[in-house]
Amino acid sequence: MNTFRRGIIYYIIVPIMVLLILFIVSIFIGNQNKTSQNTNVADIIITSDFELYDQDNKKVTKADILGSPSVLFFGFTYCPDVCPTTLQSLSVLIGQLGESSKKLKFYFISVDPERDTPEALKQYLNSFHPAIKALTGDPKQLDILIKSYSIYAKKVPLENNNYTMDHTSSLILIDKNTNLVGTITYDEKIDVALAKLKNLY
Amino acid sequence: MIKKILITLSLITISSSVLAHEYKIGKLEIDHLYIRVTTGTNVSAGFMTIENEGDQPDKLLSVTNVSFAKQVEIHETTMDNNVMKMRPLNQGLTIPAKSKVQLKSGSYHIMFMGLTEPIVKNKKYKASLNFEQSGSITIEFDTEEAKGHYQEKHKN
Repeated sequence: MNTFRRGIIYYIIVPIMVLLILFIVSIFIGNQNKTSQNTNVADIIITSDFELYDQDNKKVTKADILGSPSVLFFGFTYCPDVCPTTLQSLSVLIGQLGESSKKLKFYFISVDPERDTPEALKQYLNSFHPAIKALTGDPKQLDILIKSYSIYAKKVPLENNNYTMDHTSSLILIDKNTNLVGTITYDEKIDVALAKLKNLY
Repeated sequence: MIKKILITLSLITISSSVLAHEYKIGKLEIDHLYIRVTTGTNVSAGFMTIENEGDQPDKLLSVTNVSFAKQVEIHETTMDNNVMKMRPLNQGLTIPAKSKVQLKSGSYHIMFMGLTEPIVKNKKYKASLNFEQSGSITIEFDTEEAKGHYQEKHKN
């Protein structure tokens, strides 16, 4: 009886347990691979179609973004320092790219559609490179872009019912299929920034 | 020839120091004052350098007597994990003893909101700076267009 029991343990239960452990481990490793694939930058794209308006009040949808690589900057016109500095930096970069810059699209996307009307944006863009277009519109439609690229944008109240916006300040670089391929940070060196832009086309 | 160069050089030095518009009040020295030319919006930022030569800290409490804006605050811009944040310094901006504080892009600025007129090139904009220890002084901001991090290079 004792030998029979031992036999069951050694020849049936132990191998089953070993197989079970191997099975669980393989699932765990498989899942890990999956999650690392999911967080790969190559999989971050504009999740669904959207309908926004440019500075000339012309409709812009996902189809307009597709087809050529783009540089996106999320900001707002009531931003007195970081936004104009970034757009001025971008204007210089576009100038440096010369003719090649025509292979790229440049969008200033409002995180403050309440104040950033197409008219306001049109006047604002006068100060920067003419290749930079603006996007604004319904907050829910803007949210599609904001959420697609995990952009941080938050309203912060100031005195007298005024407010400012906290927002991601990096330039977002996407390929012709809207895949996120990189970013240019606020303090990026010009040579690095130019190389990143040239890598896009 | 050398004389000519020296004269020119000294003239340049004199004119640039005249243009620098330095202000002094108590132990404070204030210069490099400029306000951003507006780009169609009714907000702008003012910048300056404040040097405290005294042994006691001072504090910029407020900016008043501004005829061109409805609301003026002292702000600090910070970068937190690539997120730009701008906050009012409600307690004022401390100028520590024997040190220099720069109000500059990406750091501190005077935030002008509800502009009643656009900020245009080659005009001066008056304001009063109110310090906790040194008192108040009326200054004038020069204007400057927004500058990027990168300088325009001449193409070959």
